[in-house]
Amino acid sequence: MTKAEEIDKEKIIEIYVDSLKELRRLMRNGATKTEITSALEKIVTEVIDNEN
Amino acid sequence: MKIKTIELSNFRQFEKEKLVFTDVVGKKVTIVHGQTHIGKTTLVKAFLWCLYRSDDSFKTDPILVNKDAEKFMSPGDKKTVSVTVELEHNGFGYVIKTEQAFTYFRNLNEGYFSPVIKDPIRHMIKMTQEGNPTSVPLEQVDNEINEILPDNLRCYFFYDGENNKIDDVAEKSNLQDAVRNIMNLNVREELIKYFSDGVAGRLVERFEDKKSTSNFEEVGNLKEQKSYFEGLIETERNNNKQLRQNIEELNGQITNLEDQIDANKESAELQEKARQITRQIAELKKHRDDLFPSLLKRCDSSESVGLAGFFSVLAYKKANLTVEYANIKTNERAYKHLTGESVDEIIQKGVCVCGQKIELGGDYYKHLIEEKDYLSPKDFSASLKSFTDRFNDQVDAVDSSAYQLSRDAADLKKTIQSIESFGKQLEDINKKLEGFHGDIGAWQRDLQQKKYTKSGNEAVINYSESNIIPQNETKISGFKEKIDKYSDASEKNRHIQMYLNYLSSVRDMAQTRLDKKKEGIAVTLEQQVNNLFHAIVGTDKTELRLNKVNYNVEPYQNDQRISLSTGQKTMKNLAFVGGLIYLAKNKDKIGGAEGVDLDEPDDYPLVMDAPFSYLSKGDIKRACTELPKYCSQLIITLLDKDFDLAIDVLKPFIDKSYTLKTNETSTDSHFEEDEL
Repeated sequence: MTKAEEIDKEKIIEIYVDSLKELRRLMRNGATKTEITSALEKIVTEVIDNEN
Repeated sequence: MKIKTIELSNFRQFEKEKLVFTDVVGKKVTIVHGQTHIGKTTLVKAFLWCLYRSDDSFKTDPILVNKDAEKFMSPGDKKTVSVTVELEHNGFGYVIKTEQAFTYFRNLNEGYFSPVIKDPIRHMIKMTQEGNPTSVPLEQVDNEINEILPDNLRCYFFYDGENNKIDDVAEKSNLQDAVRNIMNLNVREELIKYFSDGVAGRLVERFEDKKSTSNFEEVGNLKEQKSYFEGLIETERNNNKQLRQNIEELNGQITNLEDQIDANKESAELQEKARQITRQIAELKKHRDDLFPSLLKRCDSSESVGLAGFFSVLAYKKANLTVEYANIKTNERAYKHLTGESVDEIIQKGVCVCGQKIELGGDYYKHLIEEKDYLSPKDFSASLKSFTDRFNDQVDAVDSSAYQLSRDAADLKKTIQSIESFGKQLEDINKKLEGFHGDIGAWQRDLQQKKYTKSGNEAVINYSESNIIPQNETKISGFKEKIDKYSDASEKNRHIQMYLNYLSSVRDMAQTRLDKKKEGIAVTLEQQVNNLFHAIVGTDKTELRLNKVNYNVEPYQNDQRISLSTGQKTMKNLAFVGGLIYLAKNKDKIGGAEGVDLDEPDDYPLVMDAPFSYLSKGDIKRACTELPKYCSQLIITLLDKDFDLAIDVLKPFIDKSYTLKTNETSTDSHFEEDEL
């Protein structure tokens, strides 16, 4: 893993916080496992791939 | 959440009533008081019916229509029952109206009107933060209500004090659900699952699937097998989780049963004694019922070994004695005299048996010789012996029977006396047990059954975790190794691996935070529950220990588990509800702040139906002093007798107080606002 690919602690927190909020919302709305997985995947890729 | 108003229309004993709740800072208490059975509990149930469209207590009596309104119905008439609650939550205003239509038709067979009941419909208007009303689509109302106050928390914040209902709930392990819901632990645990390796159909699998491979077909096959075993493990883990929940529930039930049995030890001993006596009485009655017909049978004249036998012997004796007497009479002279041989002997001796001297040729000599000639020796003794033997044979034949008959008669008498004596003892025990309706034997059997079920569940978990799961994990590792061998070192795969590394880090972080959160919750809840309990009880002698898994609280004194009285249980429940409200209010601070609006504090009202039914005067006063400190809104229904006690202490916090009264001209009730 290159330096650029090293785990960024801030990103971990961002993924955790965003995922938790989204998961709570989806669970309360009775979303399916597939819907939740897609939503979380989106959050993970967006946060990691966002260079800023 | 703050309740602003409730409006009841045709709902049970309320024709058209509206209550406005306190809306003044610092004056957080509203009281509704009245006599029994005029609508206090109905009011509390009306809240639940409006918010959740159901209440278990309405299942047995589903016709909610006001009885007076029902009197004036004609066939085809329709009556609508409705409850409207206006509330505020997180800055939004809500108006929730639940209504149910009842259309009446004439029941020809029965000759009275019956309603056709339609399912209740719930409407919700949500006021935006700008104050604009929007109608919430019917299918989304449940979600909105769950946002405001989840269904499984309703029993805590709409507390049925009369039935100490929280205890029933605790048996179903809902305390755990309540804490998990309030503190969002369920969301955190789900998050960990989505970010964990080996959970089928979740994020890790999603990213793994995106990796390119040198042998697409083989990897596809391996993934399929891996996924199958992951599914098996997930099923195993879910089963184990369910079994652990069952064990926790069983632990609670076992403790309650042990408490219950312990608290009723004296009654248990009496019940055991009563059971023994009942068994003895049953055995004695059976003995009596066997003995009595047998005795009767032996009195029957057709039975030779019974009384008939005795009479037959007596009759024989009488008949033969009579014959013998006649015989003796006939031979009286012979019997009175001696035999010829004896006369010779007497003559030889020279002295008669009567003492007279016998001289040859003398009068006595002549007399004796005359007699000797006259007599012929007869064997009367043989005749007598023969008669006696026959009689004795008959006596022998009935002797043992007579002995048995007298022994059985004595036995019967003793048995009947014992039944009476045991019956009296049983009566005394039952008097002592009057009012006690528990069946301790059944509790003990139930306890044994629950312990047995618990150990069965533990064995299943143990086998699953030490055999099934590790075996499947080994298989999955094997598949992963093979899949990795086919994975090429492309840029794309490297990027995906980076996602996977992040997932793993997020999962570790979520787990650490969850553990911290749980620990914080347990410590805080235990502390708050104890603080409130001690304040209400007025002493800190009893310590409430919190089970960190199921959040049950158990009372201890000097390290010994103790049982609580009904009143103490009520106080424990009130303390627990207070603890939950504290958690909800401080959820952002407990177990480490995360800066997520997920943990924004919630403020729940406390609506309590006759919460003080089992409390002493002192307890009521202390509870009224402490409870307002814990909640932002307190709505209490009280019996008039409790109101008189509570009012002095609660007065500084009360904004509104209503008296519930029955109408003069009908069976309906209405509210009158008190002047404070």
